[in-house]
Amino acid sequence: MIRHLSPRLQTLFVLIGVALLFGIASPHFLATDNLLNVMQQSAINAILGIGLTFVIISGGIDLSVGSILALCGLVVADQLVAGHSGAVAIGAGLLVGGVCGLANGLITTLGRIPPFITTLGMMLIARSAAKIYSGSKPISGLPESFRALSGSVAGVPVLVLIVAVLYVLAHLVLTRTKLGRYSYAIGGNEQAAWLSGVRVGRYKVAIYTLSGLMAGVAAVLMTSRLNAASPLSGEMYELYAIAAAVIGGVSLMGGEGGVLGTLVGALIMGTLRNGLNALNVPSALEGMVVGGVLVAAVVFDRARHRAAEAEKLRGWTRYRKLVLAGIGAAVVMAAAFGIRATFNAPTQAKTFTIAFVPKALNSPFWAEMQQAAEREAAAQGVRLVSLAADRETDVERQYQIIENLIQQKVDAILLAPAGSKELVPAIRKANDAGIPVLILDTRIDQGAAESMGARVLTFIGSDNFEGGAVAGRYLADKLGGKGNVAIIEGISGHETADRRRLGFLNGIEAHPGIRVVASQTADWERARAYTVAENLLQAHPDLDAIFAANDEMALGALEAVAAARRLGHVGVVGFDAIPDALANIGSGRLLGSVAQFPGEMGRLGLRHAVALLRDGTTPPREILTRVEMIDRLNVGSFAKRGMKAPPSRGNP
Amino acid sequence: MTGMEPILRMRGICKRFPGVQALQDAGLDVLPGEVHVLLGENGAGKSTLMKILCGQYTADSGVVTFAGEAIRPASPLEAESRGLVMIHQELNLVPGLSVAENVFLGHEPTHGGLIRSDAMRQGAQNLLAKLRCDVDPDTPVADLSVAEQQLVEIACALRQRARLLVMDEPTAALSDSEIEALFDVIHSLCGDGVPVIFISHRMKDIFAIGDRVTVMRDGRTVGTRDVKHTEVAELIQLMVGRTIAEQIPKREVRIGEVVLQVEGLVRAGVLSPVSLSVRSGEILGVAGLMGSGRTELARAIFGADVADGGTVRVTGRTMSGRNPGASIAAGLGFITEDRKRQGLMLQRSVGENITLTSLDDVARFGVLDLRAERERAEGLVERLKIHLASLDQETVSLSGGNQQKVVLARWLAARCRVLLFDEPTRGIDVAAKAEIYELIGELVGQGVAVVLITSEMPELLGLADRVAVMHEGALQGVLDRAEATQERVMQLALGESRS
Repeated sequence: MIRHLSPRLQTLFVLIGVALLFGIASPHFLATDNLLNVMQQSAINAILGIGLTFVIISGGIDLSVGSILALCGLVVADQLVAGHSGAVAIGAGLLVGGVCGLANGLITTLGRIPPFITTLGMMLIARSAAKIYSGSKPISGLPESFRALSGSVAGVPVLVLIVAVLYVLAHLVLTRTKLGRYSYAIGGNEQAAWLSGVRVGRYKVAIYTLSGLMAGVAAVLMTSRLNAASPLSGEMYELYAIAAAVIGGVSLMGGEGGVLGTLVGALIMGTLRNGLNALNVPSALEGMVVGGVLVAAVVFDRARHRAAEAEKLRGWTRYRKLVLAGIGAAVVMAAAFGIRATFNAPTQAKTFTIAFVPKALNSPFWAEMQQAAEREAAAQGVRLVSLAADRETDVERQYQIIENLIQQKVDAILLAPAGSKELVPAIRKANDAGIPVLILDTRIDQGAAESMGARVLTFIGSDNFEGGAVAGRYLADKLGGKGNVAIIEGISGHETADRRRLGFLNGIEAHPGIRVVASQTADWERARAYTVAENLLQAHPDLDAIFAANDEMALGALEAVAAARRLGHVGVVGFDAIPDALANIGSGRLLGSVAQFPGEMGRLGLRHAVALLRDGTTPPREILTRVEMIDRLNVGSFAKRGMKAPPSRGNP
Repeated sequence: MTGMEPILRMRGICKRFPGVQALQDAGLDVLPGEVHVLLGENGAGKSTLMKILCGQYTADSGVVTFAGEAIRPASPLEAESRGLVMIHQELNLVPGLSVAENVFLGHEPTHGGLIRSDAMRQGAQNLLAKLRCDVDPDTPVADLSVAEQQLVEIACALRQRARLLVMDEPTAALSDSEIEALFDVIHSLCGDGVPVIFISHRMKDIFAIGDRVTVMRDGRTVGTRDVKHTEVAELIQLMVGRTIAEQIPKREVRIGEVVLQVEGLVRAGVLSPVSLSVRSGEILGVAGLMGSGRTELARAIFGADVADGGTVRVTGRTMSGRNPGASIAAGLGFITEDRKRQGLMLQRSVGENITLTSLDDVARFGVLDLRAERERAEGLVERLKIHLASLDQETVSLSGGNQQKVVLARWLAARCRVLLFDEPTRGIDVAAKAEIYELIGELVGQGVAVVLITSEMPELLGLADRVAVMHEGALQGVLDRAEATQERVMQLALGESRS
């Protein structure tokens, strides 16, 4: 037993060390509420980690759990919306997860295909199935009763209780059943296990089915937590779960590790993310820290293996261990105080702290919004905290960031929601904590907000419909009222994407000579847009113009047009007027782009938040910032105006 | 040939591996331009001696002189730089690369950092022409026959300007006409003054190609003969000519009814139809040289490989659904020859390794009774006198003999009616060997039928009630205990059916 425990104990010490570090560095971290928060935020990863632990111990890998999670979540939400009972919905979700896992197992064993390939395929298939099933739109409007799963019992979140029960069960299965024992045997030496009569194929199928089932469980809980399901949820989660298992001492070579280690690994990852938020460490640094810990864990583990062999030769290891532990503790303390001094300088009394949470911080659009908010905060004498997920689609992560901000007791939150429905429960939590929420850029779904009793103070954002219409009218005019156009859409189901597309259609309505020959999504991404445009150009030799719902996609499409040598014949219009687009308009390659004023959103958001906090002034329900068509004629003057965007409607 | 100075001289070579003295004062002289055959039983030390010559191992003691210079190659690369090249039985080619690319692998002619494929192709073509091989140098090696691949290896050796070539059983996988062609090539090499050391078990080969033959036994060189002046009987005498020093006590056991009956078991290209039977309490020894199909026979009986035909009956019931799980359920057990790769989960605990085949006995509805499991394992550890600190110890930390006992414990726990042992005493020390003999004796005493594959002659003759001898995938003959002498076994193993 000791032998089994010792590696886990070491990761447990790492967890405690990290927690102490954050506890010293930030006053909020060690609060009971926040610790429960960390556990809750680690829950989804921990549950996926159970399946991955079994799979990896048996010498396999499962890359499909993130996608299966998305698919199962949609099934659950869909069943609930269709009026079925919670039990039926949950059953359906688990069934779909189990069947996906079963397929992984059967294909891997019967087809003798490496699990990396099988589950990579399933990852793509399940993701695609999720998009088809949902029409690429999030499903929300779930009954209130379903939220009970993400509530609390006697102050302990249900989610945490469920994880605890699952882990106890998983640990028992792994250590006390044939399934568990054979998992180790297969991973330890598949040949030997088979020659010893272990029905390797059957057990592998069972193991992959279990992994799929765990993705189903995670999906049920995540759907309850977000009160919605999205076809984009769970991206990269398979890799996070693998990371949790590896940090917890599960060897990718198979045959080693245990679920308790994985639990600790998941908690370490959750602690790091939560703690870094609490310290207001820039989000971009997060990957570096978590990645560093992952690699360090493996390096450490290897070293431990070698040391265990060398140990027999030396008598002074116990002493050496103590010295090392001492040095380690000293380093942790020093780091803690260093971080505290760097990121958490004591604030002056009576200043407000306002949080800014964009969808991500990965494009000039968000950067400009953030910089403007920063400048305004400096001018107003308040403190601004900016935190964002790595990817615009990681709704669960944004949800966690808001939870963490509530723990920090910020005074107001400026939020650009990554999902118009999925963030509603988080907003409700902020409401309950008395923190006002101002929405930027993307609207919150009215119905979802009302059904959960979530309130937002205002919406500040571009009139995307008008922006689309401006682009439509401009193109129609340029083409002389006659021609074939294609639309490259944003992520379908996104409010912004839909409004821009509808606006564009409205703009060309007055010109019956303009024909829309195709309308396809490229998920806001430049590379995807390149491929989509390539295919469009191939399929429609008579294409005259392309409207892309953002500049990233417009620039991708533009390169495809250039590669097809149809520059000058096919005009491209984008949206957002990012610097790269402006440069291409200046050089005459890009026809035009609809300018938004993200800086204005950031500035106005901050100004209204401060006005509310200082004087109790309530902002208008909706503040629409301007849109403007930028083309070759006015690009010069627009660039000169730069950040000093002119005031727009609704300015207080 | 006499009067010529040897180009290679190996003297007093000793090499010890953990638990076994592989070479003891071994030596070898090779004359310029001769084909020198190296002959000996499995484990006689032929390969070890050649690996020392070619830098894969270093000798504990002894002297190697090549072309008048004392050498001590520390790596194959160093040996190759001196012109000592070994062609292994498993060829060392990259299947996906072309013939030319393989010939020049690691030594590509370049011009300004770029590979000159034309020069490479031309070079390969020239070398192959010398070997009278008309393979297109652009063909991927994977598309070649084994014989052609061998020629590519030889071309490789020529490219390195080999001054001595070692070939390890090059004829094992070739047809008669291919062998003839290979011998032509070897002759022409020797004509150019490159001596060839030729490891082979095939008497036909020895007399067809060899100039001289050196016989090894138990890590020693026992004699060198001119091929012209020797005959098969003398060579066999040299190979086996030991008196069996360690007498293994043969238990008197009542032999019962037939438990394992194999009829016409066949695998295309691997096993010619084999029929045999083993009775309760009987030990059937299986002899044969390396690659004679002994392990393949055991795997086919056990269902680890799918046979193309034939039946296996255990206690009268014909086995269907051939796989290890079904075989174990029917009462068959198989102790594999490679315990590290096919026997043990080295990173897992000793306890887990012992109970792997018999978890069903301690499980109800898939849930294990850990205490019962532990008691069982402890009982077996005691019975087999396995030396360990704790059942939770990682198996990798045990000695070879104790590891082997863990494997045996696993199969004892499974309570099989028939046990197939494949080289159960390979690489373990003498004391552990004796314990394993004891155990096998105990098992047959309890009525278990044993099939014992072994290369150790004393083990074979001491334990077996009957000896089945395999040669090139076929059962060459079955000898009763009375007629099973070292000479008879070796004759059959060398393919001399009647002499």
